[in-house]
Amino acid sequence: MNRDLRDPGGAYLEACAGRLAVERPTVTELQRLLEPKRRGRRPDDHEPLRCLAIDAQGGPSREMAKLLDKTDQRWILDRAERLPTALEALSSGEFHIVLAHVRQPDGQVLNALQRMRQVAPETAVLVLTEFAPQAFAEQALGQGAQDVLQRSKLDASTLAHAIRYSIERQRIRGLYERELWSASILHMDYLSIVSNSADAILILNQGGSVEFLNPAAESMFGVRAAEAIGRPCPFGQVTSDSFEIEVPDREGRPRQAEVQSVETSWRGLDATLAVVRDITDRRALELQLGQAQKLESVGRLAAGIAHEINTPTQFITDNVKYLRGVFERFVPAVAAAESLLEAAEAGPLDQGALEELRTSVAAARLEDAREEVPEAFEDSLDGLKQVARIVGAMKVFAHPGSEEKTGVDLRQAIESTVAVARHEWRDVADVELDIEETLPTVPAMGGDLNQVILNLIVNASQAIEDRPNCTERGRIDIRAHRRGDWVEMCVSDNGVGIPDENRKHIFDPFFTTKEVGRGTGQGLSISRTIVVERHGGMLDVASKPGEGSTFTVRLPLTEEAALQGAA
Amino acid sequence: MTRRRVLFVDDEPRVLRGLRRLLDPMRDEWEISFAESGAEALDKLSEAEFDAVVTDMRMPGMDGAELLHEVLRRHPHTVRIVLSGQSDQETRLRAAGPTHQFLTKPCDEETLRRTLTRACDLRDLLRRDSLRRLVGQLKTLPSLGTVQRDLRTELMSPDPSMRKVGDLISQDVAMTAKVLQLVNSSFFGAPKRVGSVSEAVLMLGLNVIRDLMLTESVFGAYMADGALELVEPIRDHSDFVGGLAYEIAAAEGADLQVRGDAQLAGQLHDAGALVLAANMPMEFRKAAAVARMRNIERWQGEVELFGADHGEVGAYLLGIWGIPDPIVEAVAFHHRPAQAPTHGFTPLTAVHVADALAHEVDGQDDSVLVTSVDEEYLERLGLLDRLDGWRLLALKRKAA
Repeated sequence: MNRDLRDPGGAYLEACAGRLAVERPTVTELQRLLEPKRRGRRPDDHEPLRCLAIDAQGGPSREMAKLLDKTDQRWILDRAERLPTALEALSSGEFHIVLAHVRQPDGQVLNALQRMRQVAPETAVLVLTEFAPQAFAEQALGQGAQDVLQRSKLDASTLAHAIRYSIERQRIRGLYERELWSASILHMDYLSIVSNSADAILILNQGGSVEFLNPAAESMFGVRAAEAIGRPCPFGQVTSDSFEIEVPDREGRPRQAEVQSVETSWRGLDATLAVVRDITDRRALELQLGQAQKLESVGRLAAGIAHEINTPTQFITDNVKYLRGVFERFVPAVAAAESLLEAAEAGPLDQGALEELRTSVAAARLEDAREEVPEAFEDSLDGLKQVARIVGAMKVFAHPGSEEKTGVDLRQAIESTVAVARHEWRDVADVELDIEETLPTVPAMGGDLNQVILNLIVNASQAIEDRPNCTERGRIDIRAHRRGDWVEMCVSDNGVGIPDENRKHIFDPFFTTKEVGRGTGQGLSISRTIVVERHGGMLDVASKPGEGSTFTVRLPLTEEAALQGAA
Repeated sequence: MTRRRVLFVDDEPRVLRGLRRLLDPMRDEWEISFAESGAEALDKLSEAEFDAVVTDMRMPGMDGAELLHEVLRRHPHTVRIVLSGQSDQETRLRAAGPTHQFLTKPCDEETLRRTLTRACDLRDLLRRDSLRRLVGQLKTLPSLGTVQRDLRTELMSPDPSMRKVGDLISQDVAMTAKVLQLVNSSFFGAPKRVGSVSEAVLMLGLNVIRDLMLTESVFGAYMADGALELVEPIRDHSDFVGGLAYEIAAAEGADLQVRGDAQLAGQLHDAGALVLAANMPMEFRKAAAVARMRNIERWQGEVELFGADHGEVGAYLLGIWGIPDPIVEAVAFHHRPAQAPTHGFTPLTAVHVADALAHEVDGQDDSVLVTSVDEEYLERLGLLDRLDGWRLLALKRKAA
């Protein structure tokens, strides 16, 4: 994009040649224009008229002086014998007028005029000749002289008149040129913006043909301006104010671009301005950010799930070890009972065997076991159920990250997410579910949807946790109902609420009021992207500081509803 | 033998019942009580004396970290242990101060039994209750501001060096003890035996070190007026003994673990002296005076005055922090190695000799804790002829 400012897109200029008939000033000319002393001016009342005579002989100068004496103007006349001296004097910008005496009306004179104009564009030049063919006079005027006078016909009043008018005409010409040039500079500046823009910019006429395109458009669509102008728009019809297209790059790989269009006029006719931005990289970043947030939430879930699993593992293991101990105590008792039984059947009661049984029965501690063993089994089975439930919920929650929308059972999504996130809320709140019995399946990307539900639950739990000076358990309500062609899910909490000044920022990426380590501020922003951009739904929040917040997710059940939602 | 009293706290009653059954075979040794919340635990603690409290981390209302802070305040002599399923780093950092040891669920009865038995047995080292209370309430040892400042600067620099952080920490007895406590317990990751401070820093990671640094009072403790001049020489002496103990262990061809333990034990051998110097400088000086007057060794003066010498004080503290046995043993018996239960060349041998030789090469400086080589002990180990070689190491080290 490092184009020369003087040459903003050769192809474009070529294509537009003839349409842009503004002569560009050179850099030195521009600089000179900006010098304040270069504004052409009349001598004011207490100022003598400063004249520079260019005259090799001296006679014409003396004659001028005599004529000037006869006018009522105060004057000072300097004389330069040769052009270089004259140019040097002129560069000071002190002179109001140049009286150039010409003996031979030829090309040299025209050159001299041109150089004087370059050095002092503000100073008027009067040419005095011995004789002046009409053609020469016109050429001299074309080179910047204000008048060509024949010396023999000159009198005081003619000279005074010519001088005054020449100065005034020169001043007006200066104004005009400045205007013209500033317009030209402005044009150049705009041209430079358009030409250097990374976004493709196109003007389309009412028939949909290209009127103009900038270099970025040339490279994005792989066309040259000269060929494209007058042809149909390279990406087809402009269908709305904002839409996305796919454009193949040079290797033919598809790139995503976003078109923003606006009504404008071009050369006096209605036209459409289309700005096309390559959003492939941005999309990739957004996707990565989404993945990062997913990892973040999976990370915090993993910690919670570890706790949910480690706890039952602890007591199940304890119980099983205890049960093993009980069994080990019981085996000798039962064995002793067996041998006693055998002995009893064989003959009279053996006192030794009886004693052995007595000891081992005492050691077995049946009373203790009778109390503890059933509960140890119950607790263990409970614990195993808990582990199985959380592992099952994880399976549903993890949902193979499909990029396709499938029919999602919202109830199952909510229930499994609540279960895997139990660790987040169980210490601070109770979760109440109110889900319509006959809720239809929602076309959605299941993994994404779970992530949204998780983010909202985590958010609600933290809002409850953040209540100042409050140890009472909070409450999270999750409701899901059908509303026409939409399904609506509300997650409400009675937490701290969101202050008004934060409410409009909460969906912004990286906006967070949490201290470091409690979240990156991506949760709600990603949730919004998932709901709004990936599902054509809506995500809104209502909140009262000190009372709580309700986040409402609306998901379209039909294509029509989705379109309506987007509009 | 009196039964040990242990209180388990967990908001999940099934966990408590599981523990009750698991520890059923030990009911002759231990008397176990249970509480389902922090508040209930505090009630029970105020009703009866407990040797140890073992708590879950995540509990509604008062969590484990809060509970242990409170136990530290009200019952400083009670050993404080966490038994947690999973907790986030922030909570663990909060608990790092008041917690002696950190265990993770699921935890087998062997680990539980070993940890509790050891913690309780160690208490017998300190017979005097006041001393037990003093040591029990310590979250950390006194530390020198200069090292802390350098460490902070290094940690806050854009590209901190692991090696430099390790070097800085090993210069400070308090920080050395703390990082060892953290890696030997499962505060941050699985418990791990390490051979050096650098290894410990590597295990914990710079982020954890940085967070610890920022967590109030994890890395540096209270010092009474007039304690600084007592604490400073101990620091330099500890550094010397650590290095020398390592060299002695290496010269004896000890394996890497023993060398590492010798060095760490050398660095920590006067931890108890630090505690006494920082908290009761007057009495600490008095013990020295008593020893001089009666012409006994200084540790004997301490035993008379405190009922325990600084070796035992240090060993008790490091023991309840879960520092490995060979190090704790070396610290406990560094003045009287013959009384240790283990035999052969151990980190204790290296530390005892290094400590005595350090005093020897330093001349009789009153500010350090004078001791002399127990030649009878070395004779018994068959190592007496090695003493001259070690002395040479000490002189070389002194010269360097």
